[in-house]
Amino acid sequence: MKLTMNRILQGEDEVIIRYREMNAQIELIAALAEGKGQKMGVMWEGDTIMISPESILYLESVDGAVWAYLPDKVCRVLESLGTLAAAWSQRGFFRCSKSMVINIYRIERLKSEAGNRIRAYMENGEQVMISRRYAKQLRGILKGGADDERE
Amino acid sequence: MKESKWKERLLNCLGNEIWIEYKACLYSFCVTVFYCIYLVCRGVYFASILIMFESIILAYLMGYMQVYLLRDFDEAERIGRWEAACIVGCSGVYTLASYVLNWFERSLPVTGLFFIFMLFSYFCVYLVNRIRRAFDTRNLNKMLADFKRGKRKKEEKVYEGED
Repeated sequence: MKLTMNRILQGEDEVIIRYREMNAQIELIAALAEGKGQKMGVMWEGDTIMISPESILYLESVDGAVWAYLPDKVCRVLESLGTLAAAWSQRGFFRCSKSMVINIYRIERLKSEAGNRIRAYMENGEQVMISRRYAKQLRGILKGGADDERE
Repeated sequence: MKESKWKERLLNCLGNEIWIEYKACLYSFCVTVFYCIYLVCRGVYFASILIMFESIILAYLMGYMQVYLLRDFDEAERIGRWEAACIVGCSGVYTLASYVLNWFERSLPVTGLFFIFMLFSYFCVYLVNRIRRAFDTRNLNKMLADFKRGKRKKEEKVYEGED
């Protein structure tokens, strides 16, 4: 792969990827450029391990401690739920209640419930009830995604 | 912190209030329909404002009862014992009110018909709510799929942007 780098004196830093066929290497470079390749440190069975935020199904705050639920394990996160929700909102993380943040990309299906609430079925089979107030926000986010699709 | 709690409570109350308004409009309209049919069948083409006002007030009170005490039974996933008892009970309250407030000249056959009509109305509202939720579920899942696809497309756009 040919690597070309140009130093610019003004303007925003930019990464332009020119490719013939999309492959894992190109995807990785794109993800790194968008900051998605960044991993975060979490506590699991007494050790610190690095995980990708995309692998998290949802985050839950229990008695002041934040837990990240992955398909195969539950890890302790040191950051606060609010900080994580704000930092990862562009990556599909959505605050669905005071104590929970879900990854929209890891929702298997949604079900409309009485009183304009929404039940989210996560990939691990867990069900999360989203109250009327947060359901309205979720609808807005999903609609935004659908609008992008139409553009 | 305290302020946000208050704000949340206020928003919840407002949300419930809108829900009660919707129910009050729906059921008072059902009562009005039956009342108007009753009048037309008797050859009367004028309705009593007082009776309509009473029906609206009653529908409001029933709305509050439904939302705060009766677990919003007409929004249930299926009709079980509790929901059936609530439907019969609420239809009974409307029927009793119609008799006490003299909406149908205290005619027992009409009052009986009104009871059946209210049972039917509650059942229809339950069905409509169920169908509405089914449509909403379908729409939500479509939006979710579009959202997930949208992300991939957006990434593709970024890759294909410049040539």
